Amino acid sequence: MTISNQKELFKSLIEHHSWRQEVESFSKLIGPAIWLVIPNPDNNNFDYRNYTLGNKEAAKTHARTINELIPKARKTRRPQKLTLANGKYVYCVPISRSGQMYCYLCLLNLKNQIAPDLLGMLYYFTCTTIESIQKDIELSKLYDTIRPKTIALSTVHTISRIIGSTLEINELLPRIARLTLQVLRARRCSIMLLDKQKKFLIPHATVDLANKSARQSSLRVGTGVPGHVVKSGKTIVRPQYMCVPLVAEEYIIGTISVSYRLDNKPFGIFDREILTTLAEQSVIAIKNAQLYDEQEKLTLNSIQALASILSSGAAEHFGRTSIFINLSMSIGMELKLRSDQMRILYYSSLLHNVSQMGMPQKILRKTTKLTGKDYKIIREQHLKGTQVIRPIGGRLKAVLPIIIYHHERYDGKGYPSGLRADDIPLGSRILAVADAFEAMLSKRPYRRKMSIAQAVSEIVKCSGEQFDPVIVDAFVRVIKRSRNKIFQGEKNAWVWKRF
Amino acid sequence: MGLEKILSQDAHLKIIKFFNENPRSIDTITGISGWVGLTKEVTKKALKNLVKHAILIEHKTNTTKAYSYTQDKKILLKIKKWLKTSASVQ
Repeated sequence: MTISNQKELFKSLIEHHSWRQEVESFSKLIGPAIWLVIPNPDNNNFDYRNYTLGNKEAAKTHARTINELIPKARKTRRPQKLTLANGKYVYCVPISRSGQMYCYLCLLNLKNQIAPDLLGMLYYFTCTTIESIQKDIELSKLYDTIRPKTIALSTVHTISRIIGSTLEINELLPRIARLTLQVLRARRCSIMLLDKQKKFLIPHATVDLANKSARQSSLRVGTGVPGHVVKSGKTIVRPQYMCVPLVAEEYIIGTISVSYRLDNKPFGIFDREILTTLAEQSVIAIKNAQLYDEQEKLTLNSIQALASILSSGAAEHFGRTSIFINLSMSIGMELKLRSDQMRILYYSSLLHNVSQMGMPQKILRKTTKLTGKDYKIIREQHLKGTQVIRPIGGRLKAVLPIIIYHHERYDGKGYPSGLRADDIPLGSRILAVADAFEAMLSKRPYRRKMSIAQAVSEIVKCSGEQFDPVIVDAFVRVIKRSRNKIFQGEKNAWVWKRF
Repeated sequence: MGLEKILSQDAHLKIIKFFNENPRSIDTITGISGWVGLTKEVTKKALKNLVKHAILIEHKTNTTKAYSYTQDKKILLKIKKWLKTSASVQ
């Protein structure tokens, strides 16, 4: 037991409620006395006067007697008694358990002797109280040690959850930068990733509390602190700046750096440990996001290729056009769809005419008005055509219902299932408006093409019957505001970017 | 609501004291309620208020909501002063 622990133990014992009660009860049995608790005298620096119950000066005057009794008590491990010249008694009870000497309990100036049974009880109570205090102290110390570590661990876990909840790299990196600032209580954080050639570090996220528009320039590997960190693979710590490499397996993919602590103190070992831990967590999230990004591009390329094949096989007026895609996406944006919804809408708009696959050419190229029989074939073929993309699954799962139901009508009179209102997927309702609008602007063998104003008016006329009024309102706003953008040529067709 | 009024509420004070002692912490409602010894409902309400008053920062994702201490020096200084004064009064 250390001196500081001993001091704490004795202080607690003297202040301990049940031990004070014990002293009081025993005092009634044995009469008035000076109670003294003396630590193991191996610790010479201990001043027992601070741990005395009762008159401290009286205890001081008995120092010689105490010093005489303690070695005997220590040697025999049994209570020692001494009769003073004035006929009063002094007792020294060694308090030890399992070979460990806790302290000596001295009772001074007693008028009468204490019965052995009573001394035994005194020993037992004191021992039990000390053990209880010792356990409390240990628990408290354990709590003080574990609590900050558990809080830190909980923070690491929470960060992991926050950065793991996005696969969008453009969302992920600023998020990591903000969290890093928060945990390190710093003012600026920057994340740079290596380019494909691994020659330059490109800044991807910079968060500066003092300058919200802060930007960082690209750096050639080997130049600037981050460039040196990438080249050497070693962390650089300066009083107001730290830079850690982002290492994925054996490759460095970039750096994360922080500067200026909020309290202006220099960065220390603990800060370095935290930044390294964050960097390790970030690398996993970044690699996941990069893989997702690659997969996303692959999916998009496949869909675009599929859409091209589908368009090439359809009659000219059934192919996808830039107007259709631009309009569908503009309505989606007007309705403030989420990024994932926009992506699905984009895929759907590229593939919406998949149902034309296998459509008889005589119907596609018919120059007269379609008959009821023709419509029946179209409806049947619509479902068959959409089956083409069904086995692809994955992300196209969400695309499938949008394409299948984009010929449904808001009033329930459409096909293939006669769905109505909100039962029709939102994407289908958007495509329905864009599809009809585009068709009206196209020349058909059996009718002339309409003007934009006529087509808009026709769409508005059908609001609430054929089309969802909310979509029609958004469509009208879009046409009014972004008409030029929508009617740009094929070259300016909507290109999928992150929303 | 001024800072004094915010700090006069027990739940707010407990949470602020927690973040003042652990300024690097970022935790969820469940985590914070455990650290400060309040129910999740009370903690949730208090956290919302503290975010409203820019004392805490909310980190929100589709699946997680976490909270951390403000980095605004002025607010931090005000809180520190208040806590110091209230401790000396006690």
